[in-house]
Amino acid sequence: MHPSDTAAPTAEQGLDQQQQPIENGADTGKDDRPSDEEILRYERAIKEAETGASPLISDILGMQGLEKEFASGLEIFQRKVKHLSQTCKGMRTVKRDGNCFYRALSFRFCELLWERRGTPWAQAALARAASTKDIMTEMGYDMSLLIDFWEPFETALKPQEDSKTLLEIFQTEYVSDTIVCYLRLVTAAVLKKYRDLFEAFILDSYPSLDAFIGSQVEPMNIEADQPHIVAISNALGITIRIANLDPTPTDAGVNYHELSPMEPLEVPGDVPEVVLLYRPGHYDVLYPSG
Amino acid sequence: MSSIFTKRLTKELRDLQANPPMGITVQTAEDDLKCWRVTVRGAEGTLYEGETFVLQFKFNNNYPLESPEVVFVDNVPIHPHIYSNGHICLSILYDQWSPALTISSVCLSILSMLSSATKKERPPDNAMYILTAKKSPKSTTWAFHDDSV
Repeated sequence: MHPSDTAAPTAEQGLDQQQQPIENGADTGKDDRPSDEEILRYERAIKEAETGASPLISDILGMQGLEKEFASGLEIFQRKVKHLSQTCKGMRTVKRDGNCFYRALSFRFCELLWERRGTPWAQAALARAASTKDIMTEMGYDMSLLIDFWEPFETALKPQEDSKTLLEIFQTEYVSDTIVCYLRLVTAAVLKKYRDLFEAFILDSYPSLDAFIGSQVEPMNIEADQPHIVAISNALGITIRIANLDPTPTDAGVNYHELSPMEPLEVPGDVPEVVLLYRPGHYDVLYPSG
Repeated sequence: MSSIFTKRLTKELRDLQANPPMGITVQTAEDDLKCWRVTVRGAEGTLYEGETFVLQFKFNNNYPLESPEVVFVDNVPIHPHIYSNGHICLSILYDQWSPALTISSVCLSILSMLSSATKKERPPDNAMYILTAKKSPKSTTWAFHDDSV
């Protein structure tokens, strides 16, 4: 374990370049190094420059943006994008910061709860969401400390009487990240609870399930993969359908990958699902027509 | 900025004072809980038995979403993952931080790291590192490639 002496990421280089003038211009005397606060400010500025000034989650946009993005791409992508344009009424882009899956899922899940407030499904889904606290406790997480992470999610699950829209909630960085973090911890708890099931998929690449959770699930800004998605789908009792925008040939227009919970919510009538758009390394929210 | 910060640290302090894990004592928690000093005592039967060290924790307003800055101060243990300026090479303090971790669990991880050392020595690149390192270890780009100690 050493500080990396190989290629440092650009953030680190950018930091050095930006620090220089401040150091020179700073008051002479006690300490010519930038303060930790300054360093953090620079890091944040650099991160923002890298991910663009894009919001954590956008308004509903038409599909033109996607068409433009792939306009000069492979023909197979263009065909799939065209199919998506014809079958979807819009999408929301989510910030590319490694948290996009959790942010997209939690936003759309809450949005469905707002849209369907008072329905049997909404009641069952709320109860299931609240039960995630029990899974956490059961798996050894200290909910007396982590209740702070549940509370913002609980607030977002319930339609607000005051003027705050769901979008405003999810665009407030601290709140939005806290919700993302809560879902990460729930994902970790479910992986632990069904250890035998998940180990089969994980032990090929990681020494242990706990090592996987410690490096790939709990830390922020680490992308979600199949096991994470299966786990959180089970925790929330929601089907997650993912349009896969990859170069694999298909007759179906676009391949959808569907992950259904092992224990779905048992409610009469139609049950909604969360639909996401996947491109390698990134998830957005998708709104199919009809 | 966030009330989670104060609420969480208040609770952690209370828990640590009421039920301190073996070998861990909070000395001070000052500056509106933003700066703590915690004493850790080397476990019996290890190279650090009988020695005590002081860890300094600094929290920013985004704690516990962001990791605390943790360094040894004053008497820095001689250990292959601890630099002589007090910086600690431990992944959970940097990119593998999770809000499910606490001051207590961080101290325990550091104690366990001390306990598993088989030889008291500085990291091989200590001299170079302390020349170039920034004040906060969180500004270092760490590479973690040894889980055995």
